[in-house]
Amino acid sequence: MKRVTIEMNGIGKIFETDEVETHALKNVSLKVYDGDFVSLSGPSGCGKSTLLSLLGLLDTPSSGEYKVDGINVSNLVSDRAAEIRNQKFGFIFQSFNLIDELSVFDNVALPLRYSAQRFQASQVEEQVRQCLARVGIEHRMNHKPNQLSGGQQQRVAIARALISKPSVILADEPTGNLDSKSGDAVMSLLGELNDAGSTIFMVTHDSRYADFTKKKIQMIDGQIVA
Amino acid sequence: MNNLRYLIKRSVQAALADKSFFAGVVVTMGITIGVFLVVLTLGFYMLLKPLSYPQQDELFVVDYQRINQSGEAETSFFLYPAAEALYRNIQSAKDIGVKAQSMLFFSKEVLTSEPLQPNLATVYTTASTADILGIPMAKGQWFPPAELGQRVPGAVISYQVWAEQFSLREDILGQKLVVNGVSHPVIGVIQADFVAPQLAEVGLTTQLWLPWDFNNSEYKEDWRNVEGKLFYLIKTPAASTGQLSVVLSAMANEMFRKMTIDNQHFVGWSADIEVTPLRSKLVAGNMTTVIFLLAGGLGLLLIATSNITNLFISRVVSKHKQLAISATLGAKKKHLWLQMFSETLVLMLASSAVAVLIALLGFGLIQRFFSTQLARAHEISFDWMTLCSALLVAVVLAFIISLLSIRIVNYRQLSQSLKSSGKGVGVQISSGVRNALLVSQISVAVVLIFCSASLIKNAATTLQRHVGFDSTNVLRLEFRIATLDWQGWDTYAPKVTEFRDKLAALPEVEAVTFARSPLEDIYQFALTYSGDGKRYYPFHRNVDHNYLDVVGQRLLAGQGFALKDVQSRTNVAMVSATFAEQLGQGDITSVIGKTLAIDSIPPATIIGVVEDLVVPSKAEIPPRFYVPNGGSALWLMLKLKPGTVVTREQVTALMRDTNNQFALTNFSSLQADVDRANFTHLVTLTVAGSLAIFTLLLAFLGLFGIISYGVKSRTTEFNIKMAIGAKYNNIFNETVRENISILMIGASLGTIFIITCLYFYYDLLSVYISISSMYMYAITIVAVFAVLILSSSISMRTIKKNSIVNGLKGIAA
Ligand SMILES: Nc1ncnc2c1ncn2[C@@H]1O[C@H](COP(=O)(O)OP(=O)(O)OP(=O)(O)O)[C@@H](O)[C@H]1O
Ligand SMILES: [Mg+2]
Repeated sequence: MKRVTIEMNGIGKIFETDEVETHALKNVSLKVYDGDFVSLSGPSGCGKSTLLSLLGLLDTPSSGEYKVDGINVSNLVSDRAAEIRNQKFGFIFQSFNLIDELSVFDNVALPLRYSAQRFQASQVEEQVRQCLARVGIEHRMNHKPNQLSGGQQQRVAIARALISKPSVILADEPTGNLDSKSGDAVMSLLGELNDAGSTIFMVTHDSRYADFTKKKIQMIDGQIVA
Repeated sequence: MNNLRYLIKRSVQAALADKSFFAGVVVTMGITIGVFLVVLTLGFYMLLKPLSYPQQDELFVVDYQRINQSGEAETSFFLYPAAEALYRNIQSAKDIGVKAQSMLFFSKEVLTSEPLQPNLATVYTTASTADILGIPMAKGQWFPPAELGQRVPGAVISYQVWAEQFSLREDILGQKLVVNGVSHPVIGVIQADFVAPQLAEVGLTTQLWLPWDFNNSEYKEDWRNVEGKLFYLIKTPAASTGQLSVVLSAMANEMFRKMTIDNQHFVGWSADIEVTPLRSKLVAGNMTTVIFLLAGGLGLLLIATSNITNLFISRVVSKHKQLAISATLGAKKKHLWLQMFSETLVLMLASSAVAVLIALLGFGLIQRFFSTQLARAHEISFDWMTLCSALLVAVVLAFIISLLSIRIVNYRQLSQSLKSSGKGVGVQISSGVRNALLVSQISVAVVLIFCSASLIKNAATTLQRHVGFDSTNVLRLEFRIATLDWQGWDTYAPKVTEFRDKLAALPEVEAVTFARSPLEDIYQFALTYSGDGKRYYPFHRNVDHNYLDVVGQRLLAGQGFALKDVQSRTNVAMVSATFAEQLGQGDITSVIGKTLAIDSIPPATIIGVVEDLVVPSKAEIPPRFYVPNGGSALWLMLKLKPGTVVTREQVTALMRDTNNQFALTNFSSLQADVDRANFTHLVTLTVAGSLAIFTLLLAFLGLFGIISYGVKSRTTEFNIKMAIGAKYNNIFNETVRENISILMIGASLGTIFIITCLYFYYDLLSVYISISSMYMYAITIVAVFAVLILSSSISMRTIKKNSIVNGLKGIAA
């Protein structure tokens, strides 16, 4: 029996803006096991990104219970949430979210700087190289993000997501800004990572890539339908 | 012009959208432009504005100089008889181009015919003055033409005198005014709006005009000593002044040679005439002040503008995404600039409106408190010039600020920036621009905070000084002997002493002294000290044996003057503490028994050291020395018994009783004098102090703004870091650490600037520099550092409050 790493029970999320209340998530419950490769799809605006940000502790739910490795994390103070994010999760965004100022190397090294663990410069160097090599972009180590193509930037973002050896990778439309060739490359990279033991939770519009995963979740209007 | 209306509407909306930004800009720029308008107007009046006299560009002041045998100008005032001789010469010379001429003799006269003996600012002058200055009459007429020496009595009074002394009585013409024993019928009243030229003393408005011949100059026949109260005006076409001064110089020189031929002292001397426009002559004494003020105002404007520009640039930086989108949608650089210009213009116009109010306040302040210090200040009023300048300044500033802000936007990169940093989500700004702005802002702030703090500290210290005497219950009076037939001091001295005794006999009076006000430093003497044989230049006071008791000035060492010192004019002296310290190099008692020698007078032995007097208007306490007067003078001070009063009428009665030629010219309480001196000083310090505080605020505001905008422009970056596991504290510390290195660079630049200034202007600035400057500097750095931390944490708080997801979408506030 595989271990449950992520568990949501009756999660709801309400956004309150000036007059309107948006029920972005309604009574969502789900379980993700160690080594899963989950895809989440559904129409635009149904709440996919919202769910992902709750999973990644970037935001807190309005109601319900969220457990990571059996520990309730529904209402963590921000510093504790940051620690868990740093150790447990790796993020890949549709828009890459690299820092323009920093070189590829420094972007990838960033999570190590915020880790509770202290690393020596040589260790950092070695790990960054390894990660970059894994995504095949080692040769662009000293470039700035805006000197890279979209596909290359996304590979850097994946390297960054890998560096702190997270058990769960959260990806929000990682192929959304890429052509099909780069998209395929990113998907096969994610497949390799999953084979190596990482749990992956990915939002995607593309049914082709959804089929690629082991488990598919469908959402409509803030609720999981399948 | 739908387009224009849209532009204006959007600009107003945009300007008002960020209320705190709007308020900050309008307040800072309002005050700054206001101050600038005030100095600009002041400068305009002094440097450019024509005088209100007809054909004012043809009015010139004739200056008379005597050149000694080595070719140096000895004096630049007229010899009384030389002026009269020149006047006669010009009258008879026909074709030298002088259209009209007049002489003015400035004086203060007592109207002995009035019960209260008012003291009026008086000008003795020739009949032609009315034509030259275009004097408009409200009633009666000006003096009829007369030859010099004709002695036709008559008086013309100013409107203000008519109102204040004679309650605008209708039968004023023909009233007799007795001045110096001569009865003058009033023949005319001048209109209220006439501005008399303040040639002799700024702020002294002429109240009484009398015919030339009645002036009581002591130098009427004197070809050796100049008459400092005499001024000479001519009207001549401006083009001919070069030629004219040559002709006049020749005339004056011939006359001077002829009259001094017998005097050995003047061998090789000559006389020379210079012709100066009346306008520049009137403001000559204030030139440096005005230039200093203009520079200060301009400096303030520059500082404020650079602060505000920094804010605008930071704002542009944080609006980069918006601009990028506009550019993608086809906005040309010109469009972007126009939008920015009109937004800035709205802000600047609002600031100008505030500025106009500030300027009105400033003009009021100047007229109320500074009309005796600044030439032509009494003429200043708010007019179209000020309004136009306000508008012009607003437009120019809007132009400059928007141009500078748009320059940092690299248009070609704009459209690409959307692509480069992640498909339009949260644009990140280069740290180069941000850091350069910060460094410049910090260096400016360090300089400004240091200077303002030093200035404020200096002002506070000056205000807290103890005056060094006790002015309670002290009355000060001055009188003169109103006669045109001077009999020599020895004739009057016994009468003066008699008057003093009568005052002393009054039951209210505790003590009487012959001495001037402790506030007046008039004469400075060169003397030689026997202790070291060196020469010193202390101020001179002559007092009698009662002086120290009357003004309550303390004796610090030795003894004061005794009655016998005064009666037999013993060669003794007292020195002030500051002077004693100079002489004795710190040991004030060592000077007792040494002597001070004034050239060609037997040396005086120092018998006492007295407390320093602190005159409010003087930044530093000068050295002073006291010698006994002969027990008579035209000035006295009375110490009254507590709770008693002596009235002006009482004093005038006693005075008449002693000698009917005695005329009271001043009757005031010493406390009132001190208050007045303190007040002007206080106002000056307050104005300087508030400007300094304002500059301080400006520096803080600029720093605060730039840091918070810096943080805002990094929102995306911070959120990315937080998404990958950075804690808030990590980011905060990181930012502060980065800012500290920037602070170090900025502070070093500022420090280098300060040191350079000190190096080059040490003489000027040394007054403000002391040990406490080191503390000031430390405080400055700490203050800048505190603002840095404070503004970082305040602006980062919004990032902490907002969810990371929002921040990544670029919708955080
Ligand atoms: N910060 C917010 N404030 C208010 N409403 C929000 C906020 N974020 C998301 N929403 C709303 O919540 C709902 C879900 O949004 P979400 O971004 O999760 O959709 P999505 O499924 O990711 O869509 P897409 O496929 O287009 O990315 C939407 O209706 C959206 O308008
Ligand atoms: Mg989404």
